[in-house]
Amino acid sequence: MKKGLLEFGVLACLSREESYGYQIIRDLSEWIEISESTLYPILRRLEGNKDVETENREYHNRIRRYYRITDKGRERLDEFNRDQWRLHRLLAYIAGKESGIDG
Amino acid sequence: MDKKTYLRRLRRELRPLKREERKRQTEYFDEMISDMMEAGMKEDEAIRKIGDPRATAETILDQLPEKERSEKDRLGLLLSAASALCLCVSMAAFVVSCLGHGFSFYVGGGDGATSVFLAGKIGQPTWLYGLTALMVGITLVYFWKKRGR
Repeated sequence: MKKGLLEFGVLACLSREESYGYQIIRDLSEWIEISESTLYPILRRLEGNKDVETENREYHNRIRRYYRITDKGRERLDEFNRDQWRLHRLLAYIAGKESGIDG
Repeated sequence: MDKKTYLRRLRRELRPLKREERKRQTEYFDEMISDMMEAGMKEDEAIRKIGDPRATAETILDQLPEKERSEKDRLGLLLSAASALCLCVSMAAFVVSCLGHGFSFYVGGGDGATSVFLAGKIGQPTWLYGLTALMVGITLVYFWKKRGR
């Protein structure tokens, strides 16, 4: 489950501003465990789905790859957030907190 | 380990991928290590954080979509073809040498000299069998190691 959430975590990070690999790790690490190697396939997948687009830019005599969320990516993130109540409901069930059951 | 060595080892582990994809990943980790160092980490610290090249490559290979993998295992194909060829030639040589020996029984009845002469003419090409065994052995080891990943 965490793997699926990671992807939306990355989308959410990029929805705030465009970013690059190291920065994304730094920002997300506060919220969820993410390694340099797990981030890469996520970024590739998002790019493949056209949820994110990338651009190489020169930085201090080297190349940095910047990632930017697309409209499609934003749509997908919004849809996930609209459906969040389902997730909360499931979590409550798992915790045994649905009505009628002692928590 | 320094960055260059690390990236070289990583690239080797990423061989199953298409060249373009392998290049992208090397650039990704090159950038990552550089950024980590710029943020104050020492080179070997950064590399240790990212992890052993093999483990890193496995994480990525596990999660990358299938279409990024190289379609042809060229080395495996070559080894299999070479082994198959050696086996065929060996079998042909074996059959011919058996026929040669068998033939000697019909020539001149119990004429020892003739049969020895013929058997000597079409002898067993042991070097060929040895080469075939070597080829087949190498191919088997190659695929066994591949499966193990």
